[in-house]
Amino acid sequence: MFMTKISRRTFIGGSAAMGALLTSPALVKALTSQPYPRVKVANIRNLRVGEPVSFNYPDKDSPAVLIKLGERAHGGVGPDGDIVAYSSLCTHMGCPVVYSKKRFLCACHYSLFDPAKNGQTYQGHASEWLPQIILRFEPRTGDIYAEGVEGLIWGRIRNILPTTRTRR
Amino acid sequence: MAMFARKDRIPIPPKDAQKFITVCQYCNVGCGYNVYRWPVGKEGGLKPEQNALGIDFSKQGVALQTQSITETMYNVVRGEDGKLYNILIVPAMDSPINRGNYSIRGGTNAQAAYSPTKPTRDRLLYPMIRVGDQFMPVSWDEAIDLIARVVKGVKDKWGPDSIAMKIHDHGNAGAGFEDN
Repeated sequence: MFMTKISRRTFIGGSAAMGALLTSPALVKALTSQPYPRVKVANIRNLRVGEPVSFNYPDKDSPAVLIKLGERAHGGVGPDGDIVAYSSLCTHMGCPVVYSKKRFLCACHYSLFDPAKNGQTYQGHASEWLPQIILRFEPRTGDIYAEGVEGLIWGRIRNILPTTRTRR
Repeated sequence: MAMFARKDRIPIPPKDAQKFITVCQYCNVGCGYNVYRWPVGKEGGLKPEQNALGIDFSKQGVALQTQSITETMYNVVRGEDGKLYNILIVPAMDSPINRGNYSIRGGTNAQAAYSPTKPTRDRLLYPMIRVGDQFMPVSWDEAIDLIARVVKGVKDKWGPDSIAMKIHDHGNAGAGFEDN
């Protein structure tokens, strides 16, 4: 779906609205088909702009990266709407992507993904955008939770494996 | 919410899914692809002996080694019998050209498969002639008549050697699909 064209303005407006909506667990269920676990992945006090935080989600075999971008992002949470997280397995052939300068780079075939734009591929071989992890920000504690994944994690046919520990 | 409908699971091709071998419809590199087709509602299992690909889907794949399967490689099409079928078009690991690798376009082969419920339904139904700055639909008779008169006009003016016809699929003689 790399042909989808959305202007920066449309997308930022839309993402702000979606950011507010995403606090509803019912919506997470509507957007996904699998029983995702709810996992605390960071606290806003420990985040610095441009410094990625690695974690695994929905299980230990699925590496992911959380980043405070410093600019409002699609699906971004937190007071500035700039905290996003993605699966860090390249959707092309599963190599790890590395965050650098507001982009995710895969060193295997040089695919580039835009973390501000829902993980859109903008260079390289990957046909599919990076799967974005649905986050939830708790303003009272500053905790950030991962609650689901939109998009298929590379190397899986279902995001939840039989060995994944889920809520159910 | 994602900017377009994403999937976090794809139906698993069952052991008895139909399998076809094809070549990418895009550039002239000619990468090999495997097509799996099976009825909507039917699904194989996670274990290698329970699915058409022979892959253990209960485990995380290994980068550059496991068959790549993305959302873009999956689609639902309507068969000649009017029934709905799942299709999966994946880069062939056993093709000597691409060995399981694929390009940004090749990974979307399944999306371009004709489906009456998807944008691929917007196909040309009539020949089109450029009139001014736009295309106008015309009948087949009119289109053939126009081509015939252009060809005859060229032949009358510059002789029969002025006309050549080249038909090929992906590259010219010998420069295309030798390995396929």
